[in-house]
Amino acid sequence: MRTRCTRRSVLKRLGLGFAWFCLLPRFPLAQTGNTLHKPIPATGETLPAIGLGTWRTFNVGSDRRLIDARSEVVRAFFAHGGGVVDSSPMYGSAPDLMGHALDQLGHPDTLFAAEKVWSPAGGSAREQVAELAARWRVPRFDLVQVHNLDDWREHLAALRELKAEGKVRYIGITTSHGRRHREFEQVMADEALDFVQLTYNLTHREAEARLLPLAHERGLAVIANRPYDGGSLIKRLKRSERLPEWAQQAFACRTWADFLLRFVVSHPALTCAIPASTRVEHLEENMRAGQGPLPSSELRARMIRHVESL
Amino acid sequence: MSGDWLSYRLADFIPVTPEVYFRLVERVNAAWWPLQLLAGALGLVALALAWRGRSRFALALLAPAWAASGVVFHLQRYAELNWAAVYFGGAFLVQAVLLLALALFGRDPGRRPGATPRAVTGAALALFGLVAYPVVTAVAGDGWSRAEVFGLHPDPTAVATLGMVLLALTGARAWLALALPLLWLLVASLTLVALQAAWAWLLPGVVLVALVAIAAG
Repeated sequence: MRTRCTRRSVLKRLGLGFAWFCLLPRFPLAQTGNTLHKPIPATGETLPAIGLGTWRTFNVGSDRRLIDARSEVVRAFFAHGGGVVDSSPMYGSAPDLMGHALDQLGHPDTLFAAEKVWSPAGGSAREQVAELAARWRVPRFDLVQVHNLDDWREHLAALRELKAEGKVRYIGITTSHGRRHREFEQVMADEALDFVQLTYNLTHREAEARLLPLAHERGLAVIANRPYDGGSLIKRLKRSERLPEWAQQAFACRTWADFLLRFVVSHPALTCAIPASTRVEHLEENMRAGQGPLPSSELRARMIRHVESL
Repeated sequence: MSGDWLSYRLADFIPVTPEVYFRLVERVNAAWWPLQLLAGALGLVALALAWRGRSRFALALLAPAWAASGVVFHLQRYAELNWAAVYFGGAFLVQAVLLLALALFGRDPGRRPGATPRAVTGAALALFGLVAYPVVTAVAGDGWSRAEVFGLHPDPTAVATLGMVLLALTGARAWLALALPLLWLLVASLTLVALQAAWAWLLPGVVLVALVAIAAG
């Protein structure tokens, strides 16, 4: 379904959507075992709220030692009930590494394979998806997104065809670092999508203003990239700050990973966060963040004030 | 759109972690040992020739170092991780051809360059690239297995070349031979800063010293 909108109608719908969003007590959450799951609005299918990003960390080329080390990270991810793994043709050898790891693991049932199409990668969207599926060694992707809105009109048209043919389950668009939000918003409003991926973390909350309410209104699942601000945020906090006691008491927050990731996934519009990890102990820390209680809206406001005060 | 560029950080242009990049350095060393010793010896011979005014022989010895580091480091290994490395490797091969052309069709000054500030700085920079840089990267990095050496790794190859060109060539020929090494050292500086290498400040320092020596004549 394709809906054309004028700027006025978009703004009107945004206003209505925001009001509706504010009135909602909380969006549905599901606990499967100890792991927090959140629904994909388009179908109701649930996903583990903590996923796995691969930018930089899984680009290891043919280095056997690092391939084995990252494969252990993937193994630990699925051992802890992980689902979404997100990659891109611009992430170097990350898709090959996933293929190797999945071969070793025997393709876990919980895998939700998310890829992207990217214009500088060459070839059409259809060719890129086929090539990436061969590298991942998966029959099809659960989600294919248009990377950073590159040639989104052409790519989205091709992805819709692939979805209609059953070769892709969901489609979406991505941005990061707060780039091109105005155009992103317009595509969200006008096009039939299932997912959007954007940057959202405790120090980069621009998406709260318009994109997250619009995602709610349009029934789009949201993946948050850079939940640790590319690693710099959690490194800084771990190095120089103590975890506040009130967070430990209020929502059993034990680590800075708990603090940062639970803030992200507790936003009602968020479906999943995708921190990257190179070490099993960090991965396990991330996965534990998806196994505890989430902060209330009051606590979220306090978390923002706390980090801004540091 | 122009504002988008301001949102990028240096690290956003380097698609690997420091662990992966310095493992790459280590893997090149492991694959080609003990070629490092031969390459270093050839580099010292080239420096001695340049100091004695035998510029063409010196340039002819630099050419295979650029070809080897372009192929071994950029095209064979780094290109697996960074699509831009294909272009870096191509540029290194162009520099190798250029140095060879200058060796074949240039002319020797026929006398020693003398102890001018430019010549002394050139010799010092070449020695730094050939001898000190491997030591610095081993000590400040993660041991001898990750030492970066002339003829296999691009950074010391560019530093040593910068010094020897200062010593061996002047005028337009010098600028022709210096353009790609200077450009590479700029790229390498930004890469090392993004990777938070302890010695990242060294390469901009080398470029600055070389430019001052050129300006001083």
